[in-house]
Amino acid sequence: MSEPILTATGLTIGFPVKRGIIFQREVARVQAVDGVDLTLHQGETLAIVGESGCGKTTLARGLVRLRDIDAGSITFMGEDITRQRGRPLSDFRRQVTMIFQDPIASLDPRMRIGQSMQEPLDIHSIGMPAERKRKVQEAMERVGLNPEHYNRFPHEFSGGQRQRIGIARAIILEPRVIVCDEPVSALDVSVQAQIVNLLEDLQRDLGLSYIVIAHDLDVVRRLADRVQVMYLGRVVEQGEGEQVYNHPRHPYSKALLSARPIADPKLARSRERIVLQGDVPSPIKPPSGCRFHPRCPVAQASCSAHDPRLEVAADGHGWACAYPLAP
Amino acid sequence: MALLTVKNLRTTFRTDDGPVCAVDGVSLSVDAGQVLGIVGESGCGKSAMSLSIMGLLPTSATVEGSIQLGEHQLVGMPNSELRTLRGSEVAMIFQDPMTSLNPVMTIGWQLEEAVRLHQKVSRREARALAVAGLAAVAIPSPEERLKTYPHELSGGMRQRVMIAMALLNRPRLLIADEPTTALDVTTQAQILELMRDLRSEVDAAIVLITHDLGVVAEVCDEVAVMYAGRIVERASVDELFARPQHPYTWGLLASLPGRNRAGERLHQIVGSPPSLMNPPAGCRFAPRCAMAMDVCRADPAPALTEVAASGAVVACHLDAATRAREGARFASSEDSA
Amino acid sequence: MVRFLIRRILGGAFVVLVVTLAVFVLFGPVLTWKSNISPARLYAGKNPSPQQIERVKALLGLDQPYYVQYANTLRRLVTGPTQDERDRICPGSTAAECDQLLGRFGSSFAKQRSVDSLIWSRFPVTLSLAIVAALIWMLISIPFGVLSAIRPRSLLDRGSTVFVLVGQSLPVYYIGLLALYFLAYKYGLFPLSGYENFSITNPWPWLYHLLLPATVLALQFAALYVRITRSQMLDTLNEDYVRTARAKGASESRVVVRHALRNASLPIVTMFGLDLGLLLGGAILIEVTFGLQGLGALAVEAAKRLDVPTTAGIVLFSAILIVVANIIVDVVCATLDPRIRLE
Repeated sequence: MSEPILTATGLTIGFPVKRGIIFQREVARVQAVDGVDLTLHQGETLAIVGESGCGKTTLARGLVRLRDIDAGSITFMGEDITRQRGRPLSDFRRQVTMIFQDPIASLDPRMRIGQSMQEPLDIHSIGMPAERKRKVQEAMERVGLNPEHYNRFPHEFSGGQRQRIGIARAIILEPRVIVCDEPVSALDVSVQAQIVNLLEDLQRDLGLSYIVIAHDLDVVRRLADRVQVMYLGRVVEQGEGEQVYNHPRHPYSKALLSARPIADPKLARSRERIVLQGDVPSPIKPPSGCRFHPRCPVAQASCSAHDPRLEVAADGHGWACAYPLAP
Repeated sequence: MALLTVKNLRTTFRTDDGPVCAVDGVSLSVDAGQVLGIVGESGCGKSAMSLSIMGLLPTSATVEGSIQLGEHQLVGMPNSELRTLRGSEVAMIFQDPMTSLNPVMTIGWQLEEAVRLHQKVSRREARALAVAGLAAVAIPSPEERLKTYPHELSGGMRQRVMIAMALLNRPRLLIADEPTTALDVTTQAQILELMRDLRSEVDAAIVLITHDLGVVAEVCDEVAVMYAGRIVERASVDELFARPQHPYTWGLLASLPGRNRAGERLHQIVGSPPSLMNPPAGCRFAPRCAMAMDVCRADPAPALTEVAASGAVVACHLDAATRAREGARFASSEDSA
Repeated sequence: MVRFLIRRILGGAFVVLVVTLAVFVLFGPVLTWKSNISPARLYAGKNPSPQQIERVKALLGLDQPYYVQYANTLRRLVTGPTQDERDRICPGSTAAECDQLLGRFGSSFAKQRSVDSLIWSRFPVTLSLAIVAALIWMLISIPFGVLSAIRPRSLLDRGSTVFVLVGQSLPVYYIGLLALYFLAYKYGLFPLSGYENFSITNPWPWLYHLLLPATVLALQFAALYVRITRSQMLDTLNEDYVRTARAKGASESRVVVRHALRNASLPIVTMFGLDLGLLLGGAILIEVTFGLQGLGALAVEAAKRLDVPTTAGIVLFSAILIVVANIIVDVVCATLDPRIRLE
């Protein structure tokens, strides 16, 4: 495996809980992301998967320094950028960009798409104005948009095309890493495939590394080299795609895999289903011991007392469970 | 005799830019106790069709054709009469449970209202029915839930409340419009399981509208695939997944992220669905179809024709042999292996 | 809910404190410094001698440092005038006479009366005008706003748009004078001016005198409120839960009244509370046009005569009313929408 390009160690990101009649004081912190480690290698795709409330979006924003980091560190190409400001932070943001879930909400409706895509170049003062337009049109071509549509407005494009605009905006700074927050979940099924293929092509041609955030293991199956499954702010299982998909060890990963409907009626009728009961608990008061134990189909008595750590084996497959499933 | 029979339904919206025909000549039928899935992408007219059946379209829309629900003909029925059927004979579950419940009323108030709109019962009886309804959708401590407001419940719980509300008056037809799309994966699994359990208990015909073929495979008996306002293929669920006939269905099946093989490029349908303002001539899928022939791009569009010995119908000019050969590539793994 | 209320009341008290400081600074040091109008000079009457001014200064405590003066103002506002002040300013008079002269808001320069008694004598007029006007404009705007939202682009909707334009673009004194000329002077349907006290046994004279000014005042607000009601209702009628209510089989009137209106009413209630609070401080143009002796008219008189304590008192009084209105609005909103109670 090549050099790690982006690593995070013990990353903890919290939200304040405030109380008080006139003067609000912080009485507690909700750990949305609680001690997460991750390593992204050059040219690979790391998927972070979990349901709403698991902290994956907070993690994504923390990784691009859109949220303050409470504890832990982020290292990009050997440099600690956890608390960088000014110039080094802006350089970092040039090399680590983001694609958002909702291509409609993330484009200014009154701005021509050419300008929207050019904005990153303006902010980082890259190239002469004439050159910037050329760069934008190159990027448009690369993502499969007609460069002649430079002067159009976002509403003139379909959902898939808008996501292409978002991707063009993310690659225009020639970044090393793109953090993709649910890149296809707002799109129609037939369009999802186009965007997945486009992301793969760009990765190959531009040598990009991706961190893909998704709520659903199936969606990232294609893209991901490695997967980390999150539950209530923690990583509960991680490993190569093949390991997690075919031999999940943590009951939550297994449940997540079996929860997705199977597009095969015969298999759907015959397969064994794990349907988790209840909802994800509030991160304000996480359950004692293993955070998953109240919903876990194989929980033992000790699970409510003992909080399992994420143990990673030599082959990279790791899980945080005292009673892991058989491989 | 089917419970719901839709014939030649045409739903047209008047807009400032001209009429838009969202549903263009759709025919289908559902029996009691059966689940019909309607699959298609956004803008294919599946929601407009369900709202046509419910009579919930804005005044700018006109509905033509025939919607026969039991002994009632819904097209042309005056709104006052239609209203007495809504919520009692035919009920609906919507996509987003977060916004589909009134935020300023308690769950109990909203459930009791649903009962008392159609049944002449006292408040106390309505309350008892509401509690029973919540219990039927496996909501813990239903009595206490009555006093809560929607924002105090999770998304999955709210969708359960919506389902309970829809079933309170024992409807004969239940329309579920993307009932799990806004939910998390594990919550979706809970709701799908609930729907499977309920379908055997409530003897209603269910129309399930979704964009997700996985959901269809899990709960439906029959499937209709819609594209740009028309049905392009209709078959039993087993038939559709074993022998898909229409190129659009193939595309949908192939682009499911879960079923492609590693290292293989995802099959993609090029382009995006056409505008219904100005639909292409002939088969509406032709501009995106890899196998389109000249005949496909000219009117008249291919009619729905029976596929030999399967009970399925498909609207495609390709010959049966080609469809069988190509379709086999996209059939669900068990049958193709 | 109690926490919520305590927090709002404390917040309101803080706002009032800031307003008192601003009023004190503006009408005390800033006024003296910028315009050479010393309050003591004004109080001392026409062409006073320097000795007279000094005496008045001592009498009113204006010779003290500013922070002491401010502290005294605050204390007086909260607890009323002290015995010491009574002895100093109205020696030898009875308590009742002294109350006429001294009050929480200070004493008027122009009239030998306390600002309190001036305000309380005028406030019923303004209050009556505001209440009658508010009733009229709500009775016009809610039904018309709702109806034009239900049938957008209908004749009624277009008609109400015209009404909105006319109501907003014609100044009240213009409509007021027209109304006075035609309805009161020419046809004698209403009195030309004046006010009758409210009485439970026979409220008609009171209403008869208020109807014309209140209607003219209400027209202006009604125009705005029709617009807001319409747009709020249009938004709410497109909400998913309204569709749910229709899918349940609720009648259109039930959908509108029980499901949509309550949700749409929050911004209307908020605005209504603030507008009413603002109006209670005096509707200057209407009061002057129709010869009503309300707070607005008092403010104009006071400003004309450089009656600094009265002007300052009215400013402070209106500020308190607005703060109170704000708190009431918050409470009403919290009862209308359970989601607000959490904060």
